[in-house]
Amino acid sequence: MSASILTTREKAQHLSVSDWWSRNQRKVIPYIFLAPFLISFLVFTVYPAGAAFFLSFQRVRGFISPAEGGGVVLEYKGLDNYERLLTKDKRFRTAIINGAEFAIGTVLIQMPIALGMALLMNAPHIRFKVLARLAFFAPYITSAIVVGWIFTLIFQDRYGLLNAALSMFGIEGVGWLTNKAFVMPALIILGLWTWCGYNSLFFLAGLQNVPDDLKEAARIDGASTVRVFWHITIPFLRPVFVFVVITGLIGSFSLFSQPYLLFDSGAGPGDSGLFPVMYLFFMGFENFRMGYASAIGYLLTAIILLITGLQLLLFRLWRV
Amino acid sequence: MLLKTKRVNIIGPGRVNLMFMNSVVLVGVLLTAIPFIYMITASFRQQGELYSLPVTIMPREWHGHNYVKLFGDTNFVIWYGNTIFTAGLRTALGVYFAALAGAAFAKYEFRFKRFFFFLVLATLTLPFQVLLVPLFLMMRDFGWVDTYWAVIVPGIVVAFNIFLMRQYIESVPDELMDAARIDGASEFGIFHRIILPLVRPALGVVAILTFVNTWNDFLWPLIVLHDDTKYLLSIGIATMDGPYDVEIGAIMAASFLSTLPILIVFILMQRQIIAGLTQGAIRG
Amino acid sequence: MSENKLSRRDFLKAASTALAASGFAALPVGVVRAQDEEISIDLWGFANNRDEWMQNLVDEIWSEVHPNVSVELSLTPYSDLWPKLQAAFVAGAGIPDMVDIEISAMGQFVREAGSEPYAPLNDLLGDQLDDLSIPSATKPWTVRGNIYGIGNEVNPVLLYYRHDIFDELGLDIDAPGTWDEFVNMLGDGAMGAGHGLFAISTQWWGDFYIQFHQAGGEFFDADGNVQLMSDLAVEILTWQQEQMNSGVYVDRGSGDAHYALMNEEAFITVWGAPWYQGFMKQNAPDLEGKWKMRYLPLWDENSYATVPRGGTGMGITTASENKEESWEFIRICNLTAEGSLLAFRRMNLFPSYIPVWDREELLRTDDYFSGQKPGEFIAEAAAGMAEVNVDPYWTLFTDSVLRLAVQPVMLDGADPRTALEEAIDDFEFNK
Repeated sequence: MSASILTTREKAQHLSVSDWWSRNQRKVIPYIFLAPFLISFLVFTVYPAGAAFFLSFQRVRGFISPAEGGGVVLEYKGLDNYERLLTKDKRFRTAIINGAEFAIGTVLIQMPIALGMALLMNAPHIRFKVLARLAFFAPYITSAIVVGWIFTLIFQDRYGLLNAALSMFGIEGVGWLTNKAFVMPALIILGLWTWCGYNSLFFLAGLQNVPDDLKEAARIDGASTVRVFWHITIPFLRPVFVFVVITGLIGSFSLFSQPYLLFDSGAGPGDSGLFPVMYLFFMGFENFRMGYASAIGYLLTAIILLITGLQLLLFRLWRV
Repeated sequence: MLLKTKRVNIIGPGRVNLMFMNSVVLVGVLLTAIPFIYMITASFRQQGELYSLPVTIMPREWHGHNYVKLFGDTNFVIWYGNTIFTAGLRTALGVYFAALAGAAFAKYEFRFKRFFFFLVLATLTLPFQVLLVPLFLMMRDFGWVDTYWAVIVPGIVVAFNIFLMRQYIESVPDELMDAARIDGASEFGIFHRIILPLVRPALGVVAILTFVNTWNDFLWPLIVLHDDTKYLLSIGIATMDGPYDVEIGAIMAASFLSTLPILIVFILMQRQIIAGLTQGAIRG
Repeated sequence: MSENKLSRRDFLKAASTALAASGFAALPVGVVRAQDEEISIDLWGFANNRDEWMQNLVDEIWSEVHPNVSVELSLTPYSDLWPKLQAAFVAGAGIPDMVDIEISAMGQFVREAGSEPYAPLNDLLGDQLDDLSIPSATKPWTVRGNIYGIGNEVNPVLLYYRHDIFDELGLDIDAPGTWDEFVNMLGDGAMGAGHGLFAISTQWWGDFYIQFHQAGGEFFDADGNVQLMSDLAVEILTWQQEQMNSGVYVDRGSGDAHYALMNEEAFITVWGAPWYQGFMKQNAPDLEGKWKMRYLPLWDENSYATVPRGGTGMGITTASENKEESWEFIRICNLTAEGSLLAFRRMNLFPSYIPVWDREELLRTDDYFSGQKPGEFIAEAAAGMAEVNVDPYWTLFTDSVLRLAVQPVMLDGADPRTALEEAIDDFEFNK
């Protein structure tokens, strides 16, 4: 499509294809842009998600032999799976509570540290900036399997690096992965290592987007540093807060690989390291309860969406 | 457009203050680096040394036998090649598609836009494990079991990447696009010649995230790839963790070597990636 | 050793017996193929050592007798093999011919009669069953009378002890006949010298099961009814809790940490099936000549001196289109002198194939165990070993036992009876 067509013939009412295209291009193009996503989304997400939703009302009883086309023998159970999860299943409750604890720990401990680090890195004359960025991004791009292995070594009670480091300060080591009181702290430490630096990079991005002249103006008007921070910087960081809190929340409830590896395919003592997706996996793939596992997945999604919705609502209130 | 003249910061400088701030950053860097250092030194230790007292960060003696074992006894090189191939292809396609969808959400009006965007966000929350079996049935019907198609195609357009791209593309000035339109550029032309170059840093970010996700993906490739010469690094390393004997040193060596290219890519692309993360985009 | 050499005639004989006996001949896949037709069969496994053994067997034995049948061995991490299999079974596609079925992973796929993804091997096995040690070779893979796997190792649990330290402390290991005597004999001796007496895992249900099973307890009866809730179970668990609290039992540590503790002499006795001996040699080579073995102390006169533990059986999937060839591979691995002796050489596994039990090679003295003959212990133990009733819900059950009985009791001081009740409730809830 050449430039001249659009500009010179724009108002001519020819009904040719190219003419139609030039008039409607902006209406049609978003669908074309979205097509790869939509097709992939429909085929590889919506369809299997629908199948899983159907499965969530069933109990899987056994296999149908390949000679008969494969598949599973199903028994319709109505809402039984959901009812059981919501009212009777203690392990599911434990998993949700663990997810919530991890989420709260992540937000309360990680956010201030990440913001503080970002403020430091944004300050003038600070050295090691390039090194710090590299270091803070590196854990995020390291395979969960590798992270799981490294931290298995670090959290070892007798031969672990963390306990050895603590003993240098005269603190007696603990069974990070074997004592159920320390499992959640251990996981929060792991989460801190993996995501804190990454989040601080987002805060840094936000800080650098705060218009300097606005702060300048506020200062000239006599506002204190704290007031400038509180009334100009923080509101400008709002989208970053939204992003960090929401991804952190979803990540917390979806945690799987790291605890799964740390606890050697288990859930830690007393289920202290059990997370919803792990429970889903255990039910679906160790206990052969695929219908129940699907119900866990859907209920978990509903819970996450609900909490995310509440969060967004809270952030919206903040804007006012 | 704003020009950055001088920065005003909430923390005032001052010599002592600055030294303190520098050392805090340095401690943060160190704490982050230690697990990596431990991984690297672990790969050069003698078997059993990791489980002995006293615990040290540095090996008592440096040994290369874990690497000999890795290259001699396992298909490490093959896994490596497989992973670079699949992750590379998936990244190239995934970034392009994510940018297209991001542009649609950021710069165009269309029906059901909010609904579609909600869909994007919703997929962020549905655990993949739920989709595993239905998706595998689909792979069977497509004849993709034990092929790389099954690893590359499903989930190639990641919701999170679309979300990121949208955020960045939103900051591309509308006036720039309108000017191009007046000059007669097509929408695809605008996408390729205006949007993509302006969000190059974001493309870098999305590329590295996609590459890393594919590089690190475990469960799905494990389920769909059957032939162990087709294994990817993550699965290959996991098979070294036998139920009865664990070659922790060799696993650490493999972990180190599998993390290395990502770190190198990051260091090489650091300017782009950091720019993508820190500058956001051009403000109008 | 020429009589051990597998001849082509042997194979033909075996194959025709198998065909006649199995009824596979009637199936289209069972049509006898032209001899030179190239066939490939595959096996999914999880254990590196078994993988090496089979690869060895393929290279040294199989490729000579069956040059036209290639065997593809694929290795998947243990906890990931079962999801992978499950996906393949559900889809009815990409299913391997053979699976290395670990004893604990036997159950979940065969819960529903008539929809089992594994083929019964009873008919293929036929009279050869008499050549096998049942408690180790077939019982753990037998559900509703169908044998779904053949295990190659006899796996009686024996007690290994540091005779050098016992001598130092002036203790006589042969004196105690019962567990109580065993623990009491020590007095403060071992613990005063900084050693725990015995290593036990708090991350595993098996160490409870071993002592419980030894006393005549069972998790399931033959009909699949839970047998756990008994005074016996409470008694054993209470006893273990006491030993844990008093420091007689110490946590054995998992993975490499276990052998590190062993090298540090944190414990001076430990139990394990014969495969464990192989790992002791590999991971604590410096302790050669310091270990000896004996049967387990007893609870009372009705106790078993040993119980079987662990094992992996080779099974054939119903989906396999090469069942005869697969069975032939399983037969050579487990039901021939060459295959089973190769497993002994590679993995220290004492064969479940009885005809080789008098081989000098198996009964040799072992320097690691201070000149004892492990083979004699194992062969003798195999005769009087308890059997395990495997249930389709076995894994689910053991998981409940670990999470709600063993761990709370051993780590948090929970009341054994309440804990066991909770474990059973949890199991019934999830079943």
